[in-house]
Amino acid sequence: MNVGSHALNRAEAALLDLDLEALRSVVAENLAMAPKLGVFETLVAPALERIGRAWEEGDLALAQVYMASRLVERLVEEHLVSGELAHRSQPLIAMAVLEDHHILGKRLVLASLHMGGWAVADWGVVSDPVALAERAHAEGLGILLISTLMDRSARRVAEVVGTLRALGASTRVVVGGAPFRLNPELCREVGADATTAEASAVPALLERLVGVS
Amino acid sequence: MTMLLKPAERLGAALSHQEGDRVPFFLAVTLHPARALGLSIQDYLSDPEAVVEGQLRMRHSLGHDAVTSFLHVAGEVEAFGGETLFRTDGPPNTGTPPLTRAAAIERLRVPDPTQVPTLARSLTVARGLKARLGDDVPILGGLVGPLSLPVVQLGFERYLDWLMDAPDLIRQLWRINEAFCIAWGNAQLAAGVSAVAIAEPLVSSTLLPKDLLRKEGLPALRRVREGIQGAVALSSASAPMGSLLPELSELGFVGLAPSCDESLAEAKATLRGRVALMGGLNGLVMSHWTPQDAELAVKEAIRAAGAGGGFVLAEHHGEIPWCVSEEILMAVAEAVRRWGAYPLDWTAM
Repeated sequence: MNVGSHALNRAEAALLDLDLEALRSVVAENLAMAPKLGVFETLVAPALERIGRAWEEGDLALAQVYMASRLVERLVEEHLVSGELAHRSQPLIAMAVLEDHHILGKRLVLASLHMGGWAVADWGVVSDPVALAERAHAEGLGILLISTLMDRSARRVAEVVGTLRALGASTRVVVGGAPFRLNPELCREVGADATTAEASAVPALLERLVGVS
Repeated sequence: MTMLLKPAERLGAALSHQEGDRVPFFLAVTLHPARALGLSIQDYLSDPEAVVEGQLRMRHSLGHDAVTSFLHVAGEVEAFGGETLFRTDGPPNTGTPPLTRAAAIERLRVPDPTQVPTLARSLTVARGLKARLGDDVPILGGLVGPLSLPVVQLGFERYLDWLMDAPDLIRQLWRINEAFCIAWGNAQLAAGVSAVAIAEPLVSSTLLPKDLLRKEGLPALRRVREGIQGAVALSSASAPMGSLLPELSELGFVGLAPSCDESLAEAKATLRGRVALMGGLNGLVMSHWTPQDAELAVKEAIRAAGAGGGFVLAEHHGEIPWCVSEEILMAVAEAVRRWGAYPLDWTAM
């Protein structure tokens, strides 16, 4: 499905203006041309990606990305409740925050993933990296997403990865948060499989991971 | 050859935009002294005498130009009912945010920082350092700014949710935080600190919208700066100051520390002759530095911002991570002594 730049601009403007009605309207107009998941993937997700890129380039604030994500979350919930936005075929995926109670990234990532039809379990804040790995193994998780804020918490991902490998689990670990953005070596250092600076880039990253697993 | 200055004179020269004997530097080693003293981080931070001893030891071994009485961020959240979670291998963190209901903010009064155990310990540290060092070595105090405190008071999500859904509630909290920051800064000055550094990552337009910062954030910071009766510096603790840097430089701070991702040379050009620039070192990457990497980083920072004074070499995030070795800290110190002596003739080569 091809979405015109006009529709994309309208979706982006609606997200930045926090105008849910306008967003509903542009999505509805495009539903005549594609299934719902397609509209989310080709219209809403790119609009949110544009906003994420503008944040990366310093043109927008994280607060604006967050608020736009919140709007998308509401729209996704409406469509999930109606049963019209089906989940894709995928490995089991969960997301957790390691240690920090004052973090933003999880909600941004979950909004991006839900919009793309990914089913992701929210495991909340976890303080014990070994217990996190054991749960991931016990539940047969394919991908574990971990968000962190503090350098020390980010380094504890090494304990998650170490425990997973000791258990023989093949769970892929994807990390995110400021410590990984400011220290690009850290992802490799803790043994994680991948990282990305932008929440809106996580769906594409998962596509790649699932494709090669 | 230039006569060797005392640390206070060296920093004074830098803040006056003069070249002293060398570029002053300060490494925020708030945790490392515990290792040197053979104490756990919790035991160390809970004992003001140990912190005084630890800061003096680090000052002696590194030869840097200041000490700090700052203990940890979580202490400030205690003032609002928050808890401190100690770690064995990193800084204490705050627990569950204490203010989760609108009614809690409506009832909130400005806490007295001298009655908060962790903050009172920090004041004891300041008094102890002042008694041992007099006026020769500056003592840096610290506090979290009024815009950033809500991240730990409410949690980041709730902060932004309320900013969108209940902005008056957030404005009320900002006003309480302003008053608290002023009281806490002045208490530290009364206890003997030479300057107060405000950590305010939320002043970055990468986090809050620029219009909101211009309309409400910068005026709040100006009021806090004016309310604190002494020298105040501002750090965005790794978040970019970006295009707001010129406006921040008009607020009366003696020094500004932007993000490690921003160009030191450009920031120096913006601030030259008016406000000192602080920074140059990214503490988060120090753990995989070799001593040679440390020397190179110091040289690059001094080359970019050292000439003409007005520069204090420091780490941007506000705290050297626990995993950074003492060997690397010593290599930084040694490199400053080797490459930081004024005049910086080598930078022209």
